[in-house]
Amino acid sequence: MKRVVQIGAFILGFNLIVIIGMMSYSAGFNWAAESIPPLYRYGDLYFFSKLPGFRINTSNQVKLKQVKPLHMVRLTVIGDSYLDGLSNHNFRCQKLDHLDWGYLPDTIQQIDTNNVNILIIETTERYARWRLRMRYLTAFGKKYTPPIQDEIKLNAEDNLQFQLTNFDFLLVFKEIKAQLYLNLFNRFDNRIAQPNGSNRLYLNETIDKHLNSSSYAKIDNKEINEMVNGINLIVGDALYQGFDAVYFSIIPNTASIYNYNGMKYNHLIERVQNHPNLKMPFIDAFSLLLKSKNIVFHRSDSHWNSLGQQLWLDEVNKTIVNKAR
Amino acid sequence: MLVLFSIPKALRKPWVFIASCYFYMVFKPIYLLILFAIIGIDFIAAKKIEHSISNKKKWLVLSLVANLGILFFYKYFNFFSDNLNVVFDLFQTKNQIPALDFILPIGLSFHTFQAMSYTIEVYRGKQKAENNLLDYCIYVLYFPQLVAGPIERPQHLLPQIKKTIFFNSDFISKGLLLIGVGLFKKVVIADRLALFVDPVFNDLSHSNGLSVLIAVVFFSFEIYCDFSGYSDIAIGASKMMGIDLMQNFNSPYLSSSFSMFWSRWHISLSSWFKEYLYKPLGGNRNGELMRYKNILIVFLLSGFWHGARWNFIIWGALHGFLLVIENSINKRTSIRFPKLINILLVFCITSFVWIFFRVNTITEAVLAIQLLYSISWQDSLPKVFNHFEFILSFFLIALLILVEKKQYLSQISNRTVQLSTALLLFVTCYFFGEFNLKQFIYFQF
Repeated sequence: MKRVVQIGAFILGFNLIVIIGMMSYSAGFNWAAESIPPLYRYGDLYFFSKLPGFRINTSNQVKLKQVKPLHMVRLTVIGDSYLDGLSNHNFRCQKLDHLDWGYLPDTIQQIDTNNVNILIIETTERYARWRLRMRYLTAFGKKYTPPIQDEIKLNAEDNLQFQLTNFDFLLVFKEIKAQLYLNLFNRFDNRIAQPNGSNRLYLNETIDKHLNSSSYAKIDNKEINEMVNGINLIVGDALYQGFDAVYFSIIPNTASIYNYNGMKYNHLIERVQNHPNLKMPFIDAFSLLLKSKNIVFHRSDSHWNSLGQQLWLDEVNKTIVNKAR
Repeated sequence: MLVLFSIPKALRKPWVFIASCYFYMVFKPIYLLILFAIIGIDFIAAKKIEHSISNKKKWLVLSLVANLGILFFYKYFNFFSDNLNVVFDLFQTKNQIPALDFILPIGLSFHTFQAMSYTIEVYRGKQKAENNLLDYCIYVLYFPQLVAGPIERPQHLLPQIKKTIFFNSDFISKGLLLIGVGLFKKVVIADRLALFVDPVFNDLSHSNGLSVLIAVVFFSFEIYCDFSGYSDIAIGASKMMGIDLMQNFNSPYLSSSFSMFWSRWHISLSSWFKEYLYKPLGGNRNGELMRYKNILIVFLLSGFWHGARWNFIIWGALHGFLLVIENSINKRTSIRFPKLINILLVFCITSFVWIFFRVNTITEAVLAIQLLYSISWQDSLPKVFNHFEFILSFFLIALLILVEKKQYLSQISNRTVQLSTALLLFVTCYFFGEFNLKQFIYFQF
């Protein structure tokens, strides 16, 4: 009898451990996710490098303009991290649906034909080659699995050790180590690159000419044609679904605007935007950013700063107004 | 550890049990059930073995089949099915065995072997069957050595588990020193060397002879520091709780023979195979040929224990052959080289054989060996390290050999010096360690 009680107590205890373990496991991650400051608050490239000279405050920027809503305009924006932080106050529309690339097929809303429905599809240049060619937008309802490189953020579990030491007072030690490594071993995190004599960091995948995401990788005309065909198919599908207009916009890599060690740009954006078979005009972020006299990209973040973002927003709003007239 | 010493002594063992469960569950919670299945079967089987006279063997077989069955299912099923499918293809049979898609439970080979040693020892009458289920659970689940050993024997570990865990500042300082040494080996040496080794072995078609040669030497020390570093951390963590784990490494690269190497490398596994396989096969009792056969069987299975791939089997077989050759030479000649020559010879050959351990396929091993034969001093090296880091890597290796040769660390007996050294090691690990999320190599086994 004693043995049976012991075994019963053991099984009960074991179940309790499993349940408590599982609960605390997920609760721990939730706590970490909510209570620890954002990883990229000083720039995503700084986060990788921890080089003291590159700590910038990405939230301390010129504020974006708030614009008047335009009645009857319903705007759907599909984009990536370049559009983080934007809201319907920044766009001339009555209602904004802001969707991430990966979630598009399941979340696109029913089209209300009483409105002017505009779809803007934004992609960063480093993912443009596979995003535009894949034509997955044509298959609304199909499951979309983004490639691994789509997510430069670390997953929650790998992230934990970074998160648990992601406090400002510990950054000093991380910066000492990063500087020590640079001085002694002449290396830093392999996800980033720094050109000779520049005070700017680059995401390595945008400058490594062996990678599709690079501004300096070779692209043949066949691939450009495929991308344009993909875009046309996407546009056709969206128009068929009920959108009144569809616009694409490719946000250039930093390396496409600020050259890296004299490397030769592949001109992906211009070659797509100026392609004779293209059926829909582009919102030309590349020319806007290239011509700007201001610094439009953070020097230690792979994204544009608010000045660059505002230039693009102004162009988008101009396009919306023209279409809504 | 903080909680452990701040709770009443009666709760400390349950706390170690809970911590061990949690430790394992962080990897994949559901796999804890496998461990509990093994624990349940072996606990009951050992009881039955002890109390039964006629069915002793049946219960032992049941326990071994259960342990090896789980090991086979998770670790070796796909290996056998893949190879059988190749045979089916040869005979143009349409039947194919489907591959199973799951992650190998972490440290499976380690804890099944430890569990098996318990029932075998009870069967041999050298160990009493455990009455306390909690103590037995801790024996199998004990978190410092659960996932990568040392593979303990019940006579050594169980009596220590049965004692009360109490705070002892000597244990804490010794434990911290060992953890510091282990961490240093792992993050400062092993993971630094891996920065050079990985790109060479992962892209052999673009490598050259000199790169492969250096990568081979570096890998010898990478795997040693990686695995012995883990063992040091495990032994240190356990020491802090007052439980001594067995020594797993003893300066293996200072061995002057292959038999000495295997008495110093992964000691807990080598002794396991010796005790539970080599001796039952007849050991060295039935003449020279039988002895060589037994050595070859043990090393083939040792290779297979490491992984369900042909390259591991070849790695094991090569070591078996080396031991056979060494024994044979020693028996037939009395010529002896100077010790230093022997040490260098053993190191060079062992490093060469590590190629089969590091690669993923036999083809890669052949390519690496071909590259070694085409070595030229003009070969360029991967631009992973600058000159300073390259020199530092060799310096770290030399430092490791020196510290092991002179046994400096074991001479530190003063508690203050132990703690200061540990602190210095932790700081060095932080500033010069590679924290690139590279897990311990032996976790995969």
